[in-house]
Amino acid sequence: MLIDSEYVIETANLNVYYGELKILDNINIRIPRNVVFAIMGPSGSGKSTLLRTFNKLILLNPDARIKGVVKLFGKNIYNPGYDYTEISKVVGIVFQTPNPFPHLSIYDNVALGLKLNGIIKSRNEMERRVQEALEKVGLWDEVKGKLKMPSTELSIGQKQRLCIARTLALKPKVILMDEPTSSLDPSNTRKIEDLIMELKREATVIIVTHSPAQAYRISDYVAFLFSGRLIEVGPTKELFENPSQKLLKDFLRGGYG
Amino acid sequence: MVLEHKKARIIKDRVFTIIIIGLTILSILPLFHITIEICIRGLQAIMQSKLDFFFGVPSPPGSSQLGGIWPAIIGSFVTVLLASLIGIPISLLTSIYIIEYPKSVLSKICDKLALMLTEFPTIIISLFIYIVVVVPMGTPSAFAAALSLTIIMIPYITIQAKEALRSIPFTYREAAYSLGLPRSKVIFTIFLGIARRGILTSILIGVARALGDTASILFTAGAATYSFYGLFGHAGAIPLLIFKFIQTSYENWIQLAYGAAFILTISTMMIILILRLLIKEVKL
Amino acid sequence: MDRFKFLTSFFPSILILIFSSMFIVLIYNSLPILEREGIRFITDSTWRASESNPEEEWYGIATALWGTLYTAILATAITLPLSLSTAIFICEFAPRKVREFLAITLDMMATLPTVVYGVWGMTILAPTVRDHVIIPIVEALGWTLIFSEYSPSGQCIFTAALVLAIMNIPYATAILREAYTMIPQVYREGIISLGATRTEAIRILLGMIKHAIIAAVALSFGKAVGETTAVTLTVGNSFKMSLSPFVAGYTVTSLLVNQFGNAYTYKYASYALYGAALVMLLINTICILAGLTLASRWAKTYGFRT
Repeated sequence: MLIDSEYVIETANLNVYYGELKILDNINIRIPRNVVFAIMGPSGSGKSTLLRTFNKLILLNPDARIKGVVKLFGKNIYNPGYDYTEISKVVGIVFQTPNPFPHLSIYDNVALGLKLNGIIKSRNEMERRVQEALEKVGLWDEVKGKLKMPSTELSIGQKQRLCIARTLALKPKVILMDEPTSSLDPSNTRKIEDLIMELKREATVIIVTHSPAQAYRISDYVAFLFSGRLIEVGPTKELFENPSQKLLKDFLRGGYG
Repeated sequence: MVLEHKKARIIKDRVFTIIIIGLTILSILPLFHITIEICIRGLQAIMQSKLDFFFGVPSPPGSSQLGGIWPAIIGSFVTVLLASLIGIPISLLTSIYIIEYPKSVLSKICDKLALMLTEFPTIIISLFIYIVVVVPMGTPSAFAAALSLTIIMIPYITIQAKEALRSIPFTYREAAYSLGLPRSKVIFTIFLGIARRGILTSILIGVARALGDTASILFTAGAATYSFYGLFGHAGAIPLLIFKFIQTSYENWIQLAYGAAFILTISTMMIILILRLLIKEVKL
Repeated sequence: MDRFKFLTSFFPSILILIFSSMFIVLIYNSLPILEREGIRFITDSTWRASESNPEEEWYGIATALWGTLYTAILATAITLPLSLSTAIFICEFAPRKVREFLAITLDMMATLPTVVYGVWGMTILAPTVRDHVIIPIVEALGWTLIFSEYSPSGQCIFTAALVLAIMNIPYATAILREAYTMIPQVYREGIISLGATRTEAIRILLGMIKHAIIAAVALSFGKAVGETTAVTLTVGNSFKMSLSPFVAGYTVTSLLVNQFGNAYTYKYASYALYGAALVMLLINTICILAGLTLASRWAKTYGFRT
């Protein structure tokens, strides 16, 4: 699956429909390696939809239709042969509202992907990977005594870090994040943002956000979406200091959402 | 003039309200009356035989003793258990199919069908199983009765389980697939786990229905008053015993019927209370 | 993925198979009697079994059909005002604790086994109805043909209808409640802002859920037609066809219960019973189908998913 390509994700003429409604209009985007790439825009601009085309999760919606190409490390994942099992080894996703499986313990939540993908066979190796993932998100010290407790016992900030750990256990090369801090308070937000800056050393992080301030803080590149169209994309500093499109100028000045 | 008209409206309003409250009370009064009467008469009967009521067999008709209803209890237990073993998997997998493939023709038909079957006359099920199982076997049996009860249970469990699965937030589906789980694991490991309270609820509802139904086993269970004759022999059942004994003119058998009715009523109420406890406590 | 679909599709198919088989078996076993008697099967009230000469057998189910329809209509007529009131009370008047209490009570009513209803109906309700309803009415109105005679045990059409009515209250209430609460809040606010009293508001809102009311009627009727145990214990089980609701009668379901035991000793009796069951099933299915369709179509009018 991993073919050496300059870009981690490349889309070409990507159009997405929900039934008759066009959600994304001719998106052409290229995301380089080991960066934090922000997708920014007002609500309803199609950001979450775009994010979900990167790991094919969009297809879980029976009304969704994809036209165009989405390449993951050079391969079009919408060609036959790329199922979720394949993709999940390379791409992980964290959602807006933390969603650890409520009926599983903290340990089982992190180990789930490993267990059911059959990647790890030995118990010791599994425990090591779980600990590694929990350490990376800074949860290990907080939960190491209560790994068997149900995940519902954690605070919301901890839950979100648990979800990130769940993804990291599979050691993905791309981490998608759908407004990961909108449910969290500023202190937890800070923790997650620090974590993101760390993660980009080993992976590419693509983060959807509706907050320009967040995008400015943590991203290297940013793409601005409006009503399903890609308005501008480029290095964050440049785009914020010299936005060329009026829509983006208005957005940065707080004109929308 | 206007004031009098307004007064009339207010009076009408009060009267209407009183009528509504009155009729509501009237609607639920019978349940309380039934429960109290059955409890009184049933407890009287059970007090007569004490422990023997549960573990003994009915005394001969007309005798001064009551005896017990053990054959009916064991009959009910065996038939409902077997019905559950067959019915639960069928129901759960049907509800899973309806949820996973909602656009398929099979799903749409089964969805409507399950709803219709919950109001199906249960005597028809009895006639059906009679022709299809009892006649070929040559005898009514616990097995045939269990099959009747399976047909009763399936619609109830299917519908409840379907609702339980449907209420799982979409985000869990996304999370499960994003971890690379195949569809079967997503359903059996994640969904059934998250919805387990709702699914347990569905099973309890099915069991409650099967426990109490008479018509469906009327012609399929046979007449086993004094003993249990194995899976392929005649079987008793608590509702059958009640139905038969209450129509006789033997005082001791009528008492047994009341006692059995009491047991049936209490069991049903306990199941309802457990259900209420389960549904209230959904931690999603 | 397709393999999963293929494997699991086995199970919903079982459901469809069972349902269609029941119809087919019934039809197959009714053909002999329908061929032999034709439409008179439904219109005749003679029920004559014959041990010696099969050619003399004649089975007309008119009496049983009459009983079924009579009890069902009476039962539905009683259920409707009661369930309507209960639904309105729950939606408009009841504080939260009372609402929960009523919800549990209705749940219990719905799950209580029919045989318990039947026992109560037979041993407690029937004598009470006889003593406090039938006898006074017969004494007062006995000179009219209708109320001249009555069932000595109290087991009659009326008692059976009463028990059926009580049994159907929870389901009908649930349908009406669901429909009533689905009325968009804006309508309620609009009516109140025009100065309507609570009663007047309720009347108008009820007008908006007419479909649900009809659905509740259809479903209650269908259920009453199909109920067996409670009816058999309370209807009296006698081959009488009368305008009086205080006389014992037969319903198709109680006919099946009482006559099935020795049906196979005669040549055509069993076919007749299957035929009767088929007729009853058709009535029941049509009513249930109509009710369910009405209820779901109503929900679509307001744009809600069923």
